[in-house]
Amino acid sequence: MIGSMRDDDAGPDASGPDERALPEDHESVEAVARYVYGIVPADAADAVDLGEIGLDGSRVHLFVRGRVGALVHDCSAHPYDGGEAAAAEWVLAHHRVLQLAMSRWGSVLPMTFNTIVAPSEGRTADENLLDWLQTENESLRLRVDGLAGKAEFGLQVSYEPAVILRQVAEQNPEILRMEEEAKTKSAGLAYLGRQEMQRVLRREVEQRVRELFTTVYERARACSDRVNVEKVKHDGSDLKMVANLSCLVALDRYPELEALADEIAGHEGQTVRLVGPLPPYSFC
Amino acid sequence: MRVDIDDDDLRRGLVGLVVALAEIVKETMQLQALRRMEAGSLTEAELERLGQALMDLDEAFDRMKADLGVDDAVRSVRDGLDQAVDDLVNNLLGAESR
Repeated sequence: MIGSMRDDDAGPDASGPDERALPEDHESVEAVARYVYGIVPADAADAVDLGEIGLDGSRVHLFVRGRVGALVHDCSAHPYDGGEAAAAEWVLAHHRVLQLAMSRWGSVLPMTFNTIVAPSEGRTADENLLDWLQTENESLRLRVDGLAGKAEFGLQVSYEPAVILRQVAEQNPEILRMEEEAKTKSAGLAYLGRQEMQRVLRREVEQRVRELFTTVYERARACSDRVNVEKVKHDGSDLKMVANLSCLVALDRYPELEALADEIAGHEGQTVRLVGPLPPYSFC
Repeated sequence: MRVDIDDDDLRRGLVGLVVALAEIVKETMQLQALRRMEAGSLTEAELERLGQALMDLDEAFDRMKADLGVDDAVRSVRDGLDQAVDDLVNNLLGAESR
């Protein structure tokens, strides 16, 4: 992922965090910087005004240099910073611009939220942006072309521990035998027997979960260009996430990923969340 | 920066940490007992005594956590440790796939 291009987060005229926390300042104060949404393939004549679809309704336009264009809006040099609700709105607006770019140009190289090109050392933001687009022209075009016709999909697979435990206990004769044996033993031996049974159960469940992850990962990889293994999340529910994958998939192969998701969800105790198509946030 | 610390929270957190660590030691002892049972190095009478002692220890832990009101604190320490291990494994897996 390409990070923020700003030279100095504080900026030459920033006097403190309080001033930077005012989101409405962005377009009105001094639009000396350029907020960059992403890079798209473009020809020199392809100078497009996308209208007021950006953050806080800012006007988004294409800033073309050579064979690529940067989708930008004019803004102040301060990063967007305004609390959780405002940030969620901005991130959503950022996402919508990239979605539109994907459908319009067939490919987009997304920038991280709050990527702002600011003026520096006597150079304007436009000069800095043009320099960067010029220097990286070929490599950016290659990367954008490499993403053509592809999108990111999030595939999250979770399981219900209680259901998997029950299935393992029912299907494993060793556990059934240990359970029966414990009933006939004295208290101390029965305790050790139950502990042993729990250990075997845990081992079997872990094995089952490992197999589930491997199956999901390998099948997803078979129909994707690239797969990233993301951190599993715990949402506080009874479900446990076993796989959280970001998949870069050619759109004509999406049905295979969808079929995989359906197949996984068809098993009792397993749930699937398939999200997309998304701009390729994890693959740029 | 000023940090407000409630005495009771601090006590519960500290006791929770100590009990969580003692619980991990207890589980290690349980694991050792099971290994010995599998290896067949103990007589049935010895196993009965060991099982009984571990069972009593389990009950003592449950009572202690309830009396001290540190059930949540212990769970939180254990979850934190589990999370730390999860993160480590995730990072290793993530690093491999990239």
